Amino acid sequence: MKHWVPYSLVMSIVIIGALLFSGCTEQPASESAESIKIGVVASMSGPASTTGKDIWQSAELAAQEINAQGGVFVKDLNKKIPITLVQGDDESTREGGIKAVSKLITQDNVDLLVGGYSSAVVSAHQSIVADNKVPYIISGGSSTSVSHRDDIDTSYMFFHRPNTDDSAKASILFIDEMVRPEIYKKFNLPDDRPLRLALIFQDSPFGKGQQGAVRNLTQDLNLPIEIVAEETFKMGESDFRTALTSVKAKKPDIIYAVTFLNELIPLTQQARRDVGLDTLILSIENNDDPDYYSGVGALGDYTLMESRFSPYAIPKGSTSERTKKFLEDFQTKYGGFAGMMGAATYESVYIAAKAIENAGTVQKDAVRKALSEISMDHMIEVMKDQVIRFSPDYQESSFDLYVEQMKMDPAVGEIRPHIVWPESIRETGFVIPDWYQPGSP
Amino acid sequence: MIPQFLQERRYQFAVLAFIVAILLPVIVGSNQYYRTVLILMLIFIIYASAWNFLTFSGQGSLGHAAFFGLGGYFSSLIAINSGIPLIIAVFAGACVTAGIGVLIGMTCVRLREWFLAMVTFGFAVIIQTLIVISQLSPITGGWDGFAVPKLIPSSIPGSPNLEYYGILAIAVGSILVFHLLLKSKIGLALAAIRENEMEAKASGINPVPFKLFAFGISSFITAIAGALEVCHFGYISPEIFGTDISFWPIIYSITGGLGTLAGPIIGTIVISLLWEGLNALGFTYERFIVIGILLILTIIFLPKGLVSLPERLQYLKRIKTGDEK
Repeated sequence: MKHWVPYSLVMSIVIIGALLFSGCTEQPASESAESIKIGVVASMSGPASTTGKDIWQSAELAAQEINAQGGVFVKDLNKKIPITLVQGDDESTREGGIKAVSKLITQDNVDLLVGGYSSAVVSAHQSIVADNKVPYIISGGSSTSVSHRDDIDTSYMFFHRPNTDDSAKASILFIDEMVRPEIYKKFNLPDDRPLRLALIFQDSPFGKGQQGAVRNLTQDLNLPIEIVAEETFKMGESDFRTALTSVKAKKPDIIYAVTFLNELIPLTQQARRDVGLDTLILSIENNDDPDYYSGVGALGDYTLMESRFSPYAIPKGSTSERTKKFLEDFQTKYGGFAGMMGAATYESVYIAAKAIENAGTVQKDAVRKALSEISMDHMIEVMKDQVIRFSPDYQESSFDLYVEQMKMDPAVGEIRPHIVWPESIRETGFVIPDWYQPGSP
Repeated sequence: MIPQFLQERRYQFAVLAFIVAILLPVIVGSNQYYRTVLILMLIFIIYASAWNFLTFSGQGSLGHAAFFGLGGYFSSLIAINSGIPLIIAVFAGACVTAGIGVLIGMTCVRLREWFLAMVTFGFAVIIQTLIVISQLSPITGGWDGFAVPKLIPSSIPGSPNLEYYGILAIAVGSILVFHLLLKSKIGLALAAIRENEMEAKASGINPVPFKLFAFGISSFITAIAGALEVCHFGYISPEIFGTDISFWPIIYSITGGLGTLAGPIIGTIVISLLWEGLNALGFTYERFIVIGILLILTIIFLPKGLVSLPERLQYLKRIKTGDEK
């Protein structure tokens, strides 16, 4: 009998562990319709956790605003129902994502999902969403491989973000329309010289999607742009000096960096400070976050960013007032500014509320149908035709994208973005800094 | 009428654990989250056990994600392109991976410790790069990856439980294979090589084929684990070669008890449950700290892993009662 004592001890640890993870998490189903349960899929830990926090807080703010108005009117119940958010930490990994989404759907019994960030993570948990037929407004997962899948039923998935083709197109058109003429004029370069573009991209569907889109666009549009360097790095990496040294040897006119926020800051610093790259760096919209402005320091001066939402550069027009209010409310609640992924999630919660209201029920198939037919005024991000709607083919929304240039603001001691493209909304002209050196002749 | 082997407490414990494992789907019911956790736990038990088996021959690997990922890719590609049943494709993919494992083993069989670990790490990087290069991307899907059939199609009644029991059977089978191997003369030879390679040679044991055998078996079982994972997700992409995928089996094995059969199992169960439990309690970042502390405490106070905890407690008890000096 005494032999069993030590093993009973080990077994007890296992059972206590099992109870720990089972007993503490059971949530009542929302069949009682006491609240509308929205699951927020966010990377609360792991390499993308900075963005995950932004996503979660912005979702909280939207839910709080809607609940302050009494909630969402549900016709079937003839009353307003408040929103309850449930957090699903995808841990920035495929395994974490699949566990988080399984838990949100089957244990927390959410009515709808919002969020999702990394394309690799989203692609891994999409099959669970498809199997369970839960409406999901995905504000990340920008790779077309995520939204254009045909092996699973994606009819319950709606993509409230530009895909990699859209954002790469904005960046490449800006380079061709604005950067190339300015550099050529300033340095008397011959018109037939192709602009030398270097790509540094994350080794993920997100990064590779951008790389493919840039290649295809320059070819399809027959643009005089030559890709002279293509360097990859692993997600979460912090030392880019080897890749940057290789890029420097190829003498580019501009670098296009496809990164997450926690990668762009060291990449920019190391490019200018350690490797001495006297060239322009254009980054991509998911980095438009207050942490970038405060983190990169003076070395971010004159860098460029393709964007669709910025805490400091608000496009003039119908979205500006609401954007200012969103930023103020966010600062009041959390003591900081929201980033672009936060803005998209904030809107996603409102889109979810509108879809449930239009459906008049929380029944998932009815909500899916309402989402596919939704047409609501744009809110804080500028949408094509000023309307939020999802395309009939891949259920993607369409944004008016723009490019900002950073300039040091001595009053705050940080860089600040200024919209320089397109012409219709630009605040100021694009500037080539004094220290800039073009690539090989 | 109790079988002879059940007189030993380790077998009693194994049978008890097996019974619990069989009952778990009944306990968790239709909850997909619990089942996902259990399935991932079983897959990582297989994976960690396979990594741990390599250490019985005195070898280590920092790049086992290469075999994990290759198993996923080969199995999926074979299943999709040949039309043979997925479960057969899983084993076929594992055979191809094992062949590559032996080839890798041949290049580094004379290396030891960190040199060997670094070579395997480099190998994982090479494999990931090969998977995504443009020449192979029409086959591998490049960075986007591709969809993979599910192990048990959801159209089959009771498919979630069938999947769980199928993976449980493979896990039990793998552990039995390791157990039988370690009890055989092969196991004795591996132990001799691990303890002192020079003495083993002097005793007439040629370490090279035994080390290659260990590499082959370890990569074969690891590949099966990788294939099961991607079949469960229904999607494969190059993230499967991630550094974290290489490190989890090491952490599980060290925490549970390196060089023991039960160690990787206990390590995987305890860390996975702790991980999910802390998440349920609202801890996110903090989980990394807790797991880190657990790992440090285990190494300092239980260098033989959690599996040695009962033995350690009994030892401390004997000291207290004066039975041990």
